[in-house]
Amino acid sequence: MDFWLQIVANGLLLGGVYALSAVAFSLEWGVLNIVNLAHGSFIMLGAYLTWMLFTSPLRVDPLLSAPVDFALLGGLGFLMQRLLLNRVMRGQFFLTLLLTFGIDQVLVNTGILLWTADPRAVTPAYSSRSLALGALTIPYTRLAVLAVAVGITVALASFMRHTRLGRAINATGMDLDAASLMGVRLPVVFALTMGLGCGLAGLAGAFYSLNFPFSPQIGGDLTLRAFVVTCLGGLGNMYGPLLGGLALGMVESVASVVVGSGAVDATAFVILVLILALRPQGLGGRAVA
Amino acid sequence: MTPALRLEGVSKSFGGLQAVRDVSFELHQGEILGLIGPNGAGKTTLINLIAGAYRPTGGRIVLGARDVTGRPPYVLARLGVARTFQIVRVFKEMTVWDNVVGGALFAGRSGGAHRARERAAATLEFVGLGALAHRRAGDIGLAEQKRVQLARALAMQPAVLLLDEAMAGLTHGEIHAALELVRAVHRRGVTLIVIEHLMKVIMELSHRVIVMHHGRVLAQGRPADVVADPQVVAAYFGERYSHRAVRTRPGAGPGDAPGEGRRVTP
Amino acid sequence: MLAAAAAAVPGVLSGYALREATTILMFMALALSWNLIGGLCGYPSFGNVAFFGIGAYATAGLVANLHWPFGAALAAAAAAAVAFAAAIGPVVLRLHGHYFAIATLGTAQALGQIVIMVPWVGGPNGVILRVPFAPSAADFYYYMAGAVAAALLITYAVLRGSWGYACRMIRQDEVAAAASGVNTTFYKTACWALSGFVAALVGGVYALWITFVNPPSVFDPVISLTMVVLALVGGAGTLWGPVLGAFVVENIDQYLWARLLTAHTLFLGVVIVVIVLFLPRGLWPYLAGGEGLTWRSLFEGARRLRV
Repeated sequence: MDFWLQIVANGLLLGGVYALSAVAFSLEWGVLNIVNLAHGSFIMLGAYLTWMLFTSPLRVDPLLSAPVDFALLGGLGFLMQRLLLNRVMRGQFFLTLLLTFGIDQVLVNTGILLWTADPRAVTPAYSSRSLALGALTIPYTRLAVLAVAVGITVALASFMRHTRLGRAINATGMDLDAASLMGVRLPVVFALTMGLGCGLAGLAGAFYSLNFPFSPQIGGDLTLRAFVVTCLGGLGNMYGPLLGGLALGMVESVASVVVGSGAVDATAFVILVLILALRPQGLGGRAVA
Repeated sequence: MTPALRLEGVSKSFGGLQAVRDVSFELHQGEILGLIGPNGAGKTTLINLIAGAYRPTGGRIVLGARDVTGRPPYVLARLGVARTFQIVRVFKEMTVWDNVVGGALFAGRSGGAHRARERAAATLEFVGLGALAHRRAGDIGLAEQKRVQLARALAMQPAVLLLDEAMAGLTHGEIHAALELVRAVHRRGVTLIVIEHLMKVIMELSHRVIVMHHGRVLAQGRPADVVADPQVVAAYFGERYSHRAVRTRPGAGPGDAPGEGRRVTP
Repeated sequence: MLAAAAAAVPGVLSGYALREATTILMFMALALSWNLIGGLCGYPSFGNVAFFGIGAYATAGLVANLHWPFGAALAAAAAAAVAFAAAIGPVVLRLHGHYFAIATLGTAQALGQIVIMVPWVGGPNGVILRVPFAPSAADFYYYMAGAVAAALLITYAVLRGSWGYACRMIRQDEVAAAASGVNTTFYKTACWALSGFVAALVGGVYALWITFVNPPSVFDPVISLTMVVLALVGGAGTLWGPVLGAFVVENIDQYLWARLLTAHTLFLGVVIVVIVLFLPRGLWPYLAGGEGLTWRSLFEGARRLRV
């Protein structure tokens, strides 16, 4: 019993990581209709930024560098949209898909040139501490991810509903031409949305670095997981990434016990294909396919 | 004579939303049937059901003597059901000519690429698009694109043609020309179901009219009778107007429908 | 003429250069494979490496473990890929846009993961191929050239006649195509299976050529993406576009690889960005249509799509 309780707890905590990573991805997809294949690499960049600040003479704590990651990668995302992606927004969808793939290749290989392909880790003193809750062991860093994922989801939902910019972003997601007629400056709103998404990815990178070792190549898997989570949760539902992330984390946690840890990745892909085939609108949310 | 098309209690729901409920009617050979009703009444859904684009959640659709319920659209197209779309769907990157050949190639019952080309040429002349044959379909005007849609459908040599708002968005002159064209199509022996918002068009064109409301058949009958039906007036303009309509037309109260105009109680 | 020139290549080149030429042919065939589904039908598969991997693995397994002759193994491998395509086609080809792209990407990834769990083909270690009479470098060149020729013939056969009409109609408006009597599921699945056939042929030849397959090398998603890029650079949906794209990009790539090994890895990414921004329709339309490729036309192409 305790064993399974731990498995479920692990699943929820892992789900927090996935949710945090998917919030931004889902935002970009829902609003911009861009499946950002460079998403995982922005998380990777966030992790490396955190690592550089942490290993610098200042030894900046990862929790403090998280806002820095948000700002810097948000700026990079803004520029990426403004200078590159905005140029093909009216083209066929796979142009943006390809473009983000190209950007991803550049980011990954730049990462390898800058930091080599060796895995790194960020290990402040508290990174190995855990909360003991009865028989359960809950690492603080994982708990922090879950809390941040929930916090960001709620904050983003209220931002989208209650602020001018949020409503403008929402409007563009629903109808491009109508939004344009309403006086929304599309290029800027697009760039701000991508900036927000990439900033959140960078922030997720700070928390990722606290929990897992990383290399410049971690992006691909993270992007794919974010895609699975978004499909699971349903596109266009602000709480979708959180629900989808927790669901995927749980499934993977259980699968690692039932079918072995080697099959976890395959499980994620099988789930992806099954959802797409059977329930393209996700577990909750509007139809998307 | 067997009807061209028969619907028996056809229903369609999307999740919780019932778009079409228990619709039954017959389409007679050689008839022009007008389909009217307020926005959201389920007209286009019904067309999609007949054309096979949607699978009904209940009921049967019989084409001639054949049960075609749940058959995919390409099968219905080959069996002689052609359609046009409310929001124009032409193959924009293809020429007008290729658009029409595309219709003739796959659904035309007398086969062969050569015959298909002949049919396409004849159809283009018939709808008056001969001069535009080599233009890109995406580059021509809306009225012409609607003609391309119609030509593509006609090149399929349909027995039943479904026209979904073929005249919406056209100018007065264009509507007149389109009306003549539809009449000419009818004279060739094609049976038609026509959805149209313009009452004038429906009144002039249809032999019989079906009024839909909230997914049901509200009334059917001769055009003049149907538009005088207080229930129909109510569906279009709200209850307040229907009373006025009843008052101003003595003898047209419920249960007193004249001529063929019979109300269908759902 | 082109065929005669291509046939003469092994007489002129040798060693490293012949190997490069063979690689270019391989990517031409792969780009043509992608073009059959992505270009002709407008279903941008991001997982065509699945077929390449099936071809490579089935060939390797049959040759190494069951000692089948290479030709028979290759034919069986191609048949396996076609069967796989026909089985999953009706499911994944129901999806559109991003969903189709990622479903195919995911399918290929899952296949790579599943192969790791199959001991018959060596699990994570892969398979080493040894054949009694290994073909020469020139033979491999001709094998790959044969794959290109087969792919071109298939594409040509599909493009002409009513099948080509069906594909163009599906690519532009699938609903209208179905309403016009086109059995869209059939044509899409058939193109997808042909695409798989070509990629599997290439994969099988590749396996024998490299004499070693393992999941990371033959289920590498970058191969899928490369196919997309090459076809787009040349011009998706055309007969010669993918050939042109593969020729141009792979030549530049190999030139850079020989000179700037470290920066070379960035190259594919940069090419993609440049192509998408300036040549969204690829190179071929400019050559074929006599439009001429000028700076102006480059920026014109880019301007149409921006917000």
